[in-house]
Amino acid sequence: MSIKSGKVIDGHPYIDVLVSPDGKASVKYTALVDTGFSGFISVPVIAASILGLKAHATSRYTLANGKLSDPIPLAFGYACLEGDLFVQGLICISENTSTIVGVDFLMRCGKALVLSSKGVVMLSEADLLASNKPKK
Amino acid sequence: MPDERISVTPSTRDIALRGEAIYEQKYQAEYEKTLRGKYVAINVNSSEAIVADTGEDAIRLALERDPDGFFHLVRVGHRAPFEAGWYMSCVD
Repeated sequence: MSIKSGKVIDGHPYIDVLVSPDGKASVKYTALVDTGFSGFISVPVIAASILGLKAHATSRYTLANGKLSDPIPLAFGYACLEGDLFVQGLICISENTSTIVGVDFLMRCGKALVLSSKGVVMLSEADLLASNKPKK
Repeated sequence: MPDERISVTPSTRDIALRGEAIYEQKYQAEYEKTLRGKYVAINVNSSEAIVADTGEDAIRLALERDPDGFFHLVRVGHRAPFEAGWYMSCVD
């Protein structure tokens, strides 16, 4: 079973991800896993510049307090956990200073997130389901 | 909504405001009757709307039609296509 371990910093889960503009060259970021974020990945403006991400559209997101964010650029890009194949998604380019992984990343990459007092792991959802199948 | 085409290098805010104005004036009332939950890419130059099941598909289709276009993504019946978690909300 493929398992990637992350770390918990100040009570928040972080995991290493690879982000790429083209599914080839990539940069590794330690990303905060935010299950309240419905998107794929959000990267800071400076990271988007380094990666060479090209914005294709704009959008907004609903903040936790119900208000709307300022408009943000969106770019097509790729991301994955180290050792996995890249998956394409819409990358939000935000004013935040951290790279953030959202629920769409888990869905597209087929990952389950396990958060415990000792740390955080991401594992293959398919492997997890297979291991829980009752044996005949 | 201004009539002139948007400038060659519009800001993120320019694109978003124009896209939202086009959506509200031309599409929102009709789409909210039948297309709730769908994603719409608004071409802010042509005012064309591309509807798809995902935001990614809406933008990809819109780019195929107009590779040089500027687009704003909305979600029918939602205030925004994405929801932010606590971190993004605190820093924004």
